[in-house]
Amino acid sequence: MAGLLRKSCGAALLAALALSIHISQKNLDSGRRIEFINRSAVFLPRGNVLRALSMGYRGIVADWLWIKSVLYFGRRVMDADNPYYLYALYEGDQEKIQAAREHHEASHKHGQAHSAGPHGHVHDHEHIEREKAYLSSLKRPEMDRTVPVPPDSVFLLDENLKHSLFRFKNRGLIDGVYPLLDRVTTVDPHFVHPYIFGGVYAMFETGRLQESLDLLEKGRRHNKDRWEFPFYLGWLYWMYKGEMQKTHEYLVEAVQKRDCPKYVMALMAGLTRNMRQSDFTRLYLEGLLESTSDPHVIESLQGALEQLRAMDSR
Amino acid sequence: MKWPAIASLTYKETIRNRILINILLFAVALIALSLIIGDWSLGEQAKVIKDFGLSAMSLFGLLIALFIGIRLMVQELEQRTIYLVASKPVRRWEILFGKFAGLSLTLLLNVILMLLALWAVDWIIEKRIDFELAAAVVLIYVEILLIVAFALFFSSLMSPTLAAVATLAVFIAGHLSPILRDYVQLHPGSGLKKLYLAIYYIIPNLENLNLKMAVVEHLERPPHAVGMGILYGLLYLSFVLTATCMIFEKKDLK
Repeated sequence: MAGLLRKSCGAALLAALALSIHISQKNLDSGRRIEFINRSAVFLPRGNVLRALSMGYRGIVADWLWIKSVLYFGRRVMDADNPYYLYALYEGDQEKIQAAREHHEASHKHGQAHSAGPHGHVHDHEHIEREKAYLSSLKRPEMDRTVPVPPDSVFLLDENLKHSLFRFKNRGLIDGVYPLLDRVTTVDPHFVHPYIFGGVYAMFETGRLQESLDLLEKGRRHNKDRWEFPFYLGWLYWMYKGEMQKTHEYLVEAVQKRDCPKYVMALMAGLTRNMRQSDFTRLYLEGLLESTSDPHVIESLQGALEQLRAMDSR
Repeated sequence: MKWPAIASLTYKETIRNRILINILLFAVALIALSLIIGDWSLGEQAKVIKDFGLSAMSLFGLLIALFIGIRLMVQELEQRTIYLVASKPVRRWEILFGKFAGLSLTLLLNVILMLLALWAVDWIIEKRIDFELAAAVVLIYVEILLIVAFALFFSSLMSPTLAAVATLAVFIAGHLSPILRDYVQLHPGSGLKKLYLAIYYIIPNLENLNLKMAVVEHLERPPHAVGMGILYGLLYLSFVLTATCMIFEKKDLK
C-alpha cells in the first residue's frame, strides 16, 4: 500500500512538473516574435583570419560561409517566397499569408507575373499598401548616389524600364551580404558563384554598385581564365555607369577566354558597329538570361526585356 | 536529511578531479587567448572576447557535465563504494540528489572562476566591467546543471558511452528545437504540425537559456527572459532529477 502511494505521488509530481514546464515554455514563447529583419550584426573575423584558421579545411569553411551568405540573403530579402517576410508583412495572420502566397503562385502559373508588376510579386492593392507602410517603418537609407543613371541612357526614355533595372527593392536591407561574400572569396578565391551572386544578382536588389564592382574585380584577378568576370563587369559599366569604352574593353577581354559563349561575341560586334542602345541592352539582357538559372533573376530580366520590347514597338 | 553530507563529500571529491582542473585551466587559457583573436577582428575586440568567453563557458560546462556527470554514479557502482553508503540509513534519492548537489557546487565555483577571468580580460580591453554578462552566465550555469541532470538520467539507464552520446544529443537537439516551432508558425498547413509541436515541447528548449548574443550585442530581450529562463530550466531539471530518482530507487545494485 505504502509502495503504491509512493509511486502515485511520484507520478503526480512528474505530471505536475511536466505541466509547469509546458506552461513556462508557452509563457516564454508568447514574448517571442519571428522577425523579418534580424537586427543583430553580421559578424565574422576578416577573410584572411578565417583563411588561416581554416587550415586544411578551406573548402569546407568557404562552403559554410557561402551557405551563411545565402541564408542571410534569403532570410532578409523581400520576396513572396520568403516566409519570414510575409509573416512580418501580415503580422502573422496566416489567412492573409496564405492568400498572398496563392495569389503569387497563380500569377506565376498564368504568366501574369510581368503584367502585374516588374518583379512578379503579389501586387494586389492591399499588398502594395502594406509593403509601402512596412518599408517606411524599416527606415532604410536613402538611395545610393553612387548609382547614377547615365544622362544619355536609354532608360531615361522609359519609366517602366528604368523601374525594372533601377528598382533596388531590397536597398539597405541586405547590404551585409557583401562582407560575407568577401570572406567567402578570400577563403576560397576560386569559388566563382559567390562573386557573380554578389556582383550581379545582389546588385539588382541592393544597388550597391561599388561593392559589386569590387567583388567582380577581385574574381577577375583570381580567375584570369574565366569569361564571366569581364562579361558581368561590362554589364555594370554599361548599365549603371554608362561607360561604353570600359564595357568594350571588358567584352574584348571576355571573348578571348576559353568557353566564352557566342552571345558575348555578338555583343562585342554590336558595340563595334554602333548598335542602337536599346538593341545592345536587349542583347546583354538575353546574355545574362542565358547565364543564370535563378528564377528571381530570370523574372527580373524577363520583365526588363518585356519593357524594352514594348518601348521599341511604340 | 543526509544529502548535505553526501553533497559536501562529492564537492570535495570532484574539486580534486584532474579532468576538472585541466578543463578549467584550458577554459581560462582560452578566454585569455581571446585577447589575441579579438585583436584580429576589425575593431570588434570586446565583442569577440565576450563571445569567446561565454561560448567557452558553455562548451566547457558541457564537457564537465559529460566527463564528470556521467561518471558520478557509474564510478560508485563500479568501485562498489555505493554499498558503503547504501548500507547506512540513507534513502537512495538522497544519495543521488547529494551527488548532484555536490557537483553543482563544484560547477558553480568553476563558472564563477571563468566569469572572473572573462571580466579581467574584458577590463583590460574596455577598462570597465560589463556586469550584464552575469545574466548570460547565470543561464549558462542552469543549462550546465540541466545537462548534468540528463547525464545522471541516462547513466542510470545505459552504459557510460551511450549515456554520453545521448546527453550530447539532448544538448544539440535542445539548441535546435526552436526551429520546429518556427517552422510550424511559418507553415501552419504542414501535415506534421502536431508531431513537430509535440517534439518541440518534449525536448528541452535550451535556447531559453541562451542569452549570450543578446547580452554581448545589447539586443532587446523579451521581458523576464532571465527569470523565466531560470524558472523553465529549474522546472525541467526537477523533472529529470525526479525521474532519475524514481529509476534509481528501482535499480538493482547487486
